[in-house]
Amino acid sequence: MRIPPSLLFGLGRFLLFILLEAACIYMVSNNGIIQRYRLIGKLREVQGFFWEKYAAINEYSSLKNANEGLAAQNALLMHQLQQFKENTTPADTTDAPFAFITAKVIRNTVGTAHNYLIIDKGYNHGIKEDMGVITPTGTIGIIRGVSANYSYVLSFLNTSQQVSAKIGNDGAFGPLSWNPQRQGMATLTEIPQHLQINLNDTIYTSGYSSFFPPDIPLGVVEGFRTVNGVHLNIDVRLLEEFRSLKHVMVVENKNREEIDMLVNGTR
Amino acid sequence: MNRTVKYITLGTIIIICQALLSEYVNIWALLYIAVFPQFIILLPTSMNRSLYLITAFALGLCIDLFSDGILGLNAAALVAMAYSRPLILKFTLPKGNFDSNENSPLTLRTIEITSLTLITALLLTVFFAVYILIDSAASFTFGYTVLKLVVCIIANTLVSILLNLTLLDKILR
Repeated sequence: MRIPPSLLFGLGRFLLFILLEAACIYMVSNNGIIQRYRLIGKLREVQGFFWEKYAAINEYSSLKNANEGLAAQNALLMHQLQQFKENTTPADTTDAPFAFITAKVIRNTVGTAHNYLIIDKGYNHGIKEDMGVITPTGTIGIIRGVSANYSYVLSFLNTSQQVSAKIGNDGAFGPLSWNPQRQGMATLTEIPQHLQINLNDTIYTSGYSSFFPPDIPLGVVEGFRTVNGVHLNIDVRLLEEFRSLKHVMVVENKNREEIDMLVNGTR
Repeated sequence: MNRTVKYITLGTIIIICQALLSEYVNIWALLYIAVFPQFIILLPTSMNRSLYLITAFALGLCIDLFSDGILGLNAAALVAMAYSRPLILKFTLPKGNFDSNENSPLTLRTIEITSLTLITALLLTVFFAVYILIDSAASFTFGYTVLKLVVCIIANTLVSILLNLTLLDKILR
């Protein structure tokens, strides 16, 4: 039996379609954001230079707001330091598991579903991939690409990003993820229904990940609802204003390798 | 100007426009303005369909590389749109007045505004359905997906028609 040429061409096109789609899905599933950064890393280094200049001009024009932000951060840190002094002995401060590297934000996107930041520190300054990025009032993201003088941070404002968070200083914990439908909001999920939740309760990092230290305030409870009759989903208003982000701290977990070795060794 | 050169010029302009849009026009997380599907929509119906798929793949990858997104995401959506285009055109393209003009691009000069709007909306539905489903595969929520789909289709159909009215027809004339 002779197969009509039109059917053969149609089958060929279908196979080509499947092949191209498979190639795309492969790239997406291999975390395409990082691949893209690596592919155009040199271009990003050049762009970084110009973004840095632009950020410097922008920073000058918004000095008043930056000062107010820094003053608020300062007050919060003073308060935390005071609490620390009252509750601990000097011996507790040695061998702190986390070290911090300050960096300036030179590029920051907030209006898309895949937001990112570029900071002005790279591997020349001790930055490595998979380090957490924070401010005193929130987790900002995770380092996903590093060049000599700049780093690419996958922002918390990404639909695929989650942070382990807890209610109050000792409360229940669950994953906190960004809510792209409501500006400045996130959702804390998997909280047992029987727990007493109050509006304006503070949400903190749980410390159950090697990216972020515990007890960084993230936001306050703005509302909650029961899901499937089992769990609570909590609406959290984020404390950090991502739009006016100027300075961040990169977190170096000194025990990271040891933790990773343990985790990988038990798999 | 040679027709191929015109299309290459238009493709380059569209890639630059999309890169600038992604860089500087980020209004809302639910709204993704994509001007590059318009290039695939307007290609002549007489073009080799396999070449058409490869063009969509290459254009999608270029957009993924130079705008802020995930490598492969725009390419996957654009290839799906390109594959469905002949089928959509078969049922929506008015018979008679276009058959003799297969080498012409699909612009307002060659097709009525109602037909072009319908074709654009249907093709963008395919594009954004694939784009949003792959994009939110890890964190799928029905409400968010449907809302984003509706917002993107309406906004981008309007942008496409506006582009057709103002720019594309003039460049390809």
